[in-house]
Amino acid sequence: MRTFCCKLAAFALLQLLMFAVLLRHYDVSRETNYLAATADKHRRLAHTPSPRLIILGGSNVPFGIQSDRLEQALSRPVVNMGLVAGAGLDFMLREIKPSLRRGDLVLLSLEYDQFGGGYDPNILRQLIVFRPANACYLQPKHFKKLVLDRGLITVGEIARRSVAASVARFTSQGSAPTLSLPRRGFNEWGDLRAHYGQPRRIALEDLEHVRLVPPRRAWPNPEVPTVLERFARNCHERGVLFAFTFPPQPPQSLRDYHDAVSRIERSLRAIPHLLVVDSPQVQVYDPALFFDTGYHLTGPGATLRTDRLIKALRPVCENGGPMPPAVSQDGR
Amino acid sequence: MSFASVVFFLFLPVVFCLHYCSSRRQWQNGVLLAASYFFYGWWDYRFCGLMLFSSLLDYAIGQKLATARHATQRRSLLVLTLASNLGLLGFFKYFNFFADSLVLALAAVGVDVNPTTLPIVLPVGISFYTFQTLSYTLDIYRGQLQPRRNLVEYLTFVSFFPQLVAGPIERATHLLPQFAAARKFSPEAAAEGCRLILWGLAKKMVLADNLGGIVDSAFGHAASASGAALALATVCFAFQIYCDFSGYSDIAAGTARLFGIQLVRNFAYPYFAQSLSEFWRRWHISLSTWFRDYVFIPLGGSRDTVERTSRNLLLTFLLSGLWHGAAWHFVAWGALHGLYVVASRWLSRGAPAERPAVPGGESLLPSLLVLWRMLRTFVLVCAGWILFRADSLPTAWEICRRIAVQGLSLDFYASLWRLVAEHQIVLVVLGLFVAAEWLGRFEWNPLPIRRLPLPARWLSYTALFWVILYLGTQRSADFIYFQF
Repeated sequence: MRTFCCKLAAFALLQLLMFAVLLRHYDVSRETNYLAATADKHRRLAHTPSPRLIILGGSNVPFGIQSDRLEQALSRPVVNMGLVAGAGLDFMLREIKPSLRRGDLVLLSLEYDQFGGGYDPNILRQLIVFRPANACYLQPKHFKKLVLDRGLITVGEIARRSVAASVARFTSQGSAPTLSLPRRGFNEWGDLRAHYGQPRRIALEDLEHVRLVPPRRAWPNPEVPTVLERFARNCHERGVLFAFTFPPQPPQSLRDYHDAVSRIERSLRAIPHLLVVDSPQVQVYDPALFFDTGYHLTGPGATLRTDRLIKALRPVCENGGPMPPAVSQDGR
Repeated sequence: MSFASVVFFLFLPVVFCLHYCSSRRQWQNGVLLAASYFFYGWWDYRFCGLMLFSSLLDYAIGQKLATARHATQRRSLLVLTLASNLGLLGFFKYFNFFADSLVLALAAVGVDVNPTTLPIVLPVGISFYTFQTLSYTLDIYRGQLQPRRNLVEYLTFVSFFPQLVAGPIERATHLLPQFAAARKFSPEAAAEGCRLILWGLAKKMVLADNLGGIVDSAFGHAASASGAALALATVCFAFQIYCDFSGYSDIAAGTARLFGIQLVRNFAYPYFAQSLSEFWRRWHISLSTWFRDYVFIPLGGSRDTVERTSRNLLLTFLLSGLWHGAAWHFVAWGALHGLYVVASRWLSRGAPAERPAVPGGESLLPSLLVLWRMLRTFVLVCAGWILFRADSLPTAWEICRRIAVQGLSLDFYASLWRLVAEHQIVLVVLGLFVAAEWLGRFEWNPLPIRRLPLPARWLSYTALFWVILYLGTQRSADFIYFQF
């Protein structure tokens, strides 16, 4: 039996070794998928000096914020980490937590439906495929679905993309764009610009149908403020300022879901060490400024939203500034 | 827990090591029992309660049957086991089907009834373990088996995880004695088990899942799909369901061998069958023999007149269709196969029944006659698969009509060729698989790898492993038979 077990273990080890080699040479630079931008965003996060403004959130953030203008107006480098709401709040926060440094300002703009507390396992899986290091931001609750039950799919996809990338290196071909808003549509700050100047993809009357969709679970989910509270406390202890800005919405959404949105706002304002820089009403935009959904602003919409953010954040950066340096537990 | 998941490959070595920690039978059975309930509970822990209830009930009935002296008492116990097992199966699997059908039937005669449907979740594998526990009590009733005193042994027999959710449906007379003795580790059996697991995974993940993409795109849009797309999808479905189910059976058999348990063979190259009767001797053998022994033969089998035999066959196949799913198209699929078998018996009356030991004969290439018979059988089986895969009877009829009508024009074949070219990778792999099966049909599975030297074996296993990972993870789908 010992011989059999040793042989089996050696076989498994050989396969793991081969996978490790594959991973070592895994090159995502030619990937054109929208979600592959996660690799670029993390690279910028690692190389941008503090004090920084790090913007977090779902796709409302890359679609609707002009980081270069924010950088100029607030005189601090900006990293737009926002990519996709389906990653879920826990993942977004864990993504930046290890790289936060004293003096940073974190600005979160979470979509209203994300206050239901959910995540999309397929999106998370893709984020790991395009940047395997993202796997370390998974939480135990992600583990069963993503690793134990569907882990082989992720490994297989990495193997396929790795082989495709090697072939492309020899044939100088990139992978075909899988979305009409590809990775190359992001600028160096991490803002999406591919949709600027493009015709809107949704008629005004249709916007009524794609506006805010409340999640099926409890909304707002009481777990979300708890997660935010924990993160805010951690930021405070590390001398990082944590702020929240509401996502953009057409007026109709706020009228339809007034009570839920009010509850969300109240719960956010009750969180210690979280600075809520605006209100849902401030982030209401003319329906003509939305590109394809009730969260994605067009170029002019993004300009307007950035103006509003500059106005809200300038006093924070000038007067409030970053939090005082953290005091260690023993008082030194 | 699915066989095609990371957790299974973490779970299996742990159970394997724990199982052989001790050579005591009680320990080994205890480990397998705990592992089986963990395996089953991974889907939904509530399902475990139902399985335990069903198992305990049959255990108790089995004990009572052994001590019952009067025929009436024994018959009452038989009725009780049938009513409880089929009642549970009927409630979870067929309640809504029968309720809906009753409402439709009453509406047809002008009686309007408010439909009562319940949000019932079908416990995974209920059809399989119900038939297994039922066979236990039926065998005791028939005097073919002594009831087990050891409850752990019996519970392990019912819940043995490799074959729990999709078979093979084991008979107590075959499986229980294997739990009654301690298992010794056999390196040859364990190596063969690993090979079977790898081969089963390749069939499921590389072929079944990728063919499923072609099938779903045509059958999922049956109203708008072309006749050529539907014809190709039908052939692909024939291989999808075969690779899916026989792949599961291979993994089950391979896993069981790691624990020193031999499961019955479930598939024996069914698509090389030359007649429908032969097909049913090679397809889902454990279910076919179950229906033969517990339905067909008790109904009278083929001992009586031709008419009675035909009736018995039809009834058996109708029930087999209903076992597969709570919908009329499954019943129609069973009825069609019943008619096939009855018709072939009528047509071949007087002729001696051919039972080739090797499917398709022993020569390297089949004769034209054998090839014609195999193709004819395959086409008839495919016609049945349309009923099986379609959402409803009208859809199945429309698919058949479109294939038949459009098949008369040349455009059909041009379109078919385009589709084949579009899916060339998976279809080439399928061709290689059929060739491997043909060449390896003399043995249980077409894996001659064990005769190769060690480096060549490892190279083959590594290649197969990476092919599975590369081609077999583009779609993720559960095993088809889980839903039954």
